[in-house]
Amino acid sequence: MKENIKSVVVLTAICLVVAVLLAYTNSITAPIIEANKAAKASGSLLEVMPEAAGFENITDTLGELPATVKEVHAETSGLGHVMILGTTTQFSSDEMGITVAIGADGKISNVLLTGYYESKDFGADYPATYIGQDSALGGVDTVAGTTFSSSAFKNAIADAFSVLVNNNLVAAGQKSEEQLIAEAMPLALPGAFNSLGNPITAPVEGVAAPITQAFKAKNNCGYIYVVSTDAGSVIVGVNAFGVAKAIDLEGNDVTATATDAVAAAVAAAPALATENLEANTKTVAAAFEEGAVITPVEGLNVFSDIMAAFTVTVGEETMYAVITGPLAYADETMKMMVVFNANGEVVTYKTYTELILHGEYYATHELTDPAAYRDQFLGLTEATYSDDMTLVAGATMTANAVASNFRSAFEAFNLIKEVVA
Amino acid sequence: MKKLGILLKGIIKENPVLVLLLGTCPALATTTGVVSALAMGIAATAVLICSNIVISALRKAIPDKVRIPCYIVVIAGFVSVVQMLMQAYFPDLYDMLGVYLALIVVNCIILGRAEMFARKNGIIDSALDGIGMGLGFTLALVLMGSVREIIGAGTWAGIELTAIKPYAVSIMTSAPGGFLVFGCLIALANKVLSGKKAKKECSCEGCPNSALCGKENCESDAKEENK
Repeated sequence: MKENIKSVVVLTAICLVVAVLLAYTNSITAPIIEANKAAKASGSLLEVMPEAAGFENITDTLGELPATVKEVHAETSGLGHVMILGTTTQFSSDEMGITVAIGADGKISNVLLTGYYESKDFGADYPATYIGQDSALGGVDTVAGTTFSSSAFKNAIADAFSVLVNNNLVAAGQKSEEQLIAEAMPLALPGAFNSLGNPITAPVEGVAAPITQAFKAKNNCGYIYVVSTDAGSVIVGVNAFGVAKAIDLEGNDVTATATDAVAAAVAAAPALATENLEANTKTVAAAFEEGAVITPVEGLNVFSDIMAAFTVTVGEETMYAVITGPLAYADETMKMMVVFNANGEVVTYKTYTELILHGEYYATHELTDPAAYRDQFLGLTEATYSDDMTLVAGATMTANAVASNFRSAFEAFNLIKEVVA
Repeated sequence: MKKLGILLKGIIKENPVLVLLLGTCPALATTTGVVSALAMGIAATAVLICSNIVISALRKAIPDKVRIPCYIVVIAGFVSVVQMLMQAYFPDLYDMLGVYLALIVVNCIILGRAEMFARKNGIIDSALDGIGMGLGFTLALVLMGSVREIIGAGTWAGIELTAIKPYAVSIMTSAPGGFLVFGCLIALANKVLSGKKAKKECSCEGCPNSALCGKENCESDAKEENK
């Protein structure tokens, strides 16, 4: 007993003495370690802003930041800000690291790529094209062949500017009309844009006034028109069902007021659902036994990647078939069909292209049984479905396309029920 | 003379890395270059000397039952101190050693010398043992680091050796090269020490298997082996 007590006392005493020793050492070294860390951090910041007198980390004072903006440092003498950015591109799970210096005049004074793990290089000179740009980023573009990487880079820089502009730390740059049009287009017909916000469209030739530009979505979900009006350009998205949505250059929905622009666009747009009616009807019919009554749904107010929708009556039962065209690997369209019963449960899910396109990710994906993958969605409703179910390791873009398909299909189902009712 | 023997035995005759085969993990991990090897050697030596002195000073106060936890607390304390000092004053070396600096706590040499020597000897002898063993450990690491860096990278302590650089064999700076050099140096040490086998030190106290072992005292076996 006595020995046990002695053991406890000695061990406790040693622990206490060691704790005091550590506390004392820590009190001496902690400020030096902090100073070292600050010097190291400002060292990388100095690389992009060498004339800086010092930096203050203001990240926590700027409210909620976009996921791409990791740190914001203000130069203490007012020269501007240095921001540390990180972004991923779906091609690599490792983050692309960017350090950008934005001067007090709102223009990029320097930009460095600190980490790059993409399979393709977008060129050593690409980041340098951003020097001198303001928040409008009018003079830079994405790089063909490395669209995803360069788009991610551009979006991260745009996020950096948005933080400074929203916090009134720099003035917003003046965007050209061309840029404003490009920004409004995804609002008019989001189904025609890939996950990075790039348009997957083909220009339509031979447009007449007041239409100045026209584009057809490659996945047949509709058309986008730029219509000239007295109040400036209006962007009109016309979906596959001939329904239009108008957006002004400030991003506001002006469908109700820009009636002339809407009328001009609708008149110009062929109703794709009707144009492709025969082919789409055949697609649906193939999924049902003979005798099913297939009726196209008209006037569906949906602007996602929906290509067509039908009501299908088999005997007493009415079902709803939605054909979608989500954009997948290399921006190719993956034609899919989801059929719902009256309760909104998925009863059929079919894909009309290979699920993994052209050896996505060098064919190292883990989708070994596509039929089982498709079957897992049967019986689901909007409430029980989750995007997580679509995940395929090694084939993120396929998974994203399948998720996009289901989100669009559930949205369409809800609207069809309203239209039919 | 006896004290000089204590100091010198750790350098060659009982070199902890090449003869006693202790501390193999840091010996392989931190010897890709001379600088990191030297830094690890100095850090481990500092901990070894301090822990030997403290454990020797407390040897009569520490009850047998809790001696291992006590040793670990003392060693972990000194390692943490060394870590903090290194992070504050030698941040580059701290980054270079990474996790292996903290792993000095579980370095067999430190606990081994505490158990085998410091708890049975006086403060001065223990300090000398710590210095000798630390020097032996550092020298072995620097030797390994030199061989690996020169052959593997064509540099020594970062200094470019222009005659060797074009013929650098990069595998020497990776794990297989580490094992190869380690094996060669052990063979060399055996050759040099042939016929001068180090006295095996052993203790059954505190061994969890001592009851099952059946031997009354393995130290007696060690003595027989050393004959």
